[in-house]
Amino acid sequence: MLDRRLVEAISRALKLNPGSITPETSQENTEAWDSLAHLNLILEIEAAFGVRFSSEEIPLLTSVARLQEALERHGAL
Amino acid sequence: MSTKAHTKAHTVHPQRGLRIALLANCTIELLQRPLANALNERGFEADFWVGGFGQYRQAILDPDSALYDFAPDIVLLYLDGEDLFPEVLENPFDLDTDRRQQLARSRIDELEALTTHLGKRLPQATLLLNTVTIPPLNTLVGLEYNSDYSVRDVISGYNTGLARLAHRSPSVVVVDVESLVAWLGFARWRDPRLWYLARMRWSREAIQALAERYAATIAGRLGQMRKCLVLDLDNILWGGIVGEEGVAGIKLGEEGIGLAYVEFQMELLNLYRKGILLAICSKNNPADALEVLRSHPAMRLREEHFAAMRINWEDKATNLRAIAEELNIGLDSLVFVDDNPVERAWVREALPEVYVPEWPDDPSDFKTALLELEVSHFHKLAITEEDRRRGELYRAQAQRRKLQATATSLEDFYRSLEMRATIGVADSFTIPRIAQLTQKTNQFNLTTRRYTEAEITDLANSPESLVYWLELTDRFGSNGIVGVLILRALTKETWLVDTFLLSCRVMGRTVENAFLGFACDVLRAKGAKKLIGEYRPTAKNAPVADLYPRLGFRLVEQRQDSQLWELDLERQQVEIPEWFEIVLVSEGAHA
Repeated sequence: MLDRRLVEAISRALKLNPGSITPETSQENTEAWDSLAHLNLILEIEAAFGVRFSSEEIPLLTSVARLQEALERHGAL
Repeated sequence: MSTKAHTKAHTVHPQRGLRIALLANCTIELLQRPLANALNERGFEADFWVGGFGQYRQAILDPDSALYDFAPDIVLLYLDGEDLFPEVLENPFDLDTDRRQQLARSRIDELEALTTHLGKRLPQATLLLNTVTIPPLNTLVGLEYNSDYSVRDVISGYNTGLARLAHRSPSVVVVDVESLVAWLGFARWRDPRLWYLARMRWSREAIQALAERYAATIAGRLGQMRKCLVLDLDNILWGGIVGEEGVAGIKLGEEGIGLAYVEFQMELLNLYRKGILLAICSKNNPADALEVLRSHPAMRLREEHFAAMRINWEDKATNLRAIAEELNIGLDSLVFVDDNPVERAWVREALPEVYVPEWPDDPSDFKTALLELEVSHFHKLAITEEDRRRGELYRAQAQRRKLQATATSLEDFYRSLEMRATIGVADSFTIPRIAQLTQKTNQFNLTTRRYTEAEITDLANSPESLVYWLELTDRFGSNGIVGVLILRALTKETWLVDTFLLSCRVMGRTVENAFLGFACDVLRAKGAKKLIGEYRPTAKNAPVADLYPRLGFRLVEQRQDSQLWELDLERQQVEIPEWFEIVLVSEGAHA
């Protein structure tokens, strides 16, 4: 199950319809998810969940599933 | 040149179009969306063009640059101190004073060359530059100020140079990013992860703060600002409720928390000095409130500082409407400060045009809240003579209203005012005020064309156009420059009224008859036969919809967004009312 707040943050940052967001949604298969949009998305999620990802993590969090895992790892979910 | 800002202004919806080019020596893309939102809140719909990473010199110097195809109204060039002066932080031990001064100077010289180049290609555009800072935690800590090594002097030399550059080039506006960083704190300003991952110099918080600051600056530059701050009394100007605790019981003075109210009032007085109107809207017994205003020894604000006062038991929305009407400004020119969240919610609901900020509970925070409001909604980039005297002007206005109430007829009232219209052609003294009036006049404005100082200068220098200002004086004193008339020659014999506007504070005093009557005389002397008046309807200028027919003009063309009216100068005349004395001053003679 995807976290609702995560879907909302992704939808806001990438301007995607929340209904179209699945765990498989990724930088690879989403045109709006370019490298700058990625940073914007990360900053949006950090603000929404009060977490801080490391500079090593950030480039790897390129799919919704990975973002959700990372939030779980940081104890935010 | 872009015309979008002019044609879209206040027509279908109140959003004003704006074209903004973003240039930087670091990654700037993430600023775009927050800036668009911040501008949107201030009534602007912005289109953006973003220059390539670190390509700002090419973007400006290349004659075929896409920057010029985009034709921006605003060029936002953000230069970060660390990118401007890499050598300074890399090895500050290698730089002596001369070399450091030379570094600052060379960057300013380069910027000046770019400014000049940009000014030639985009004469109407505003260039936003920024003061810079370097990380306060750097290798010179301890050595700075105690040894010959320094990085501070490069930074202060550069920032001082920017101020001089802005002074020389009217198209340049400096955004004081150095002070913004100091206020926010450098540690919160930077996010080193974003530097290493994307060559971005800002944190998320910094982007938000910067977007707000740029939007406020742009709104200030384009005259889209609030004009009047309306204040509640109890627990705003003083602590406690005067009706219950009495004049002696309220908290106001040098003791304890009373000082917070005194210092808040001191800053309000500065707002008044900057030309922002102050007004009172309070549920109170008028006698109690007036006693504090008149006789409390610690009050910094007195009755004379308020352009309007509504102290009664009516609801605040009704009172705010009455204040806007009395001052002859729109509700969207008001900001309302009240300590009571219920009143705030009610006013927001009833009058969505009025800006009602959240307000801190603790009076210790009042002064800071006010300063933040000054940045966000009363952002001034210059102070004109009119600004300095605005409070006074509105007080005289109240006296005029009293006179009007006692006059037996309107004509008697006009005669008793002893009005003198001083008219002159635009010169370097009057151009800033003329541009300011075109930017912010909404009601008595026939065409609502917004002009920058550079554009007014061009019009004033062109043989094809005439730019006149009008200063109105009466028995209560001068109203300052309150009118602008721009005439363009379409042919030798036909002239067009490109711009005709009067400040709302002199509406209803037949100044328009005097000004246009004067223009007809001037044009006739030049051999003109026809004068075309244009009316472009907006959401706000309905009061002048019937101006041209009223003055005898005949409708000759009805376009989708404008009407053209014609006056036959050979047969018709706009009478200058006999109660006016007209004084024509020659160029450069403005007092």
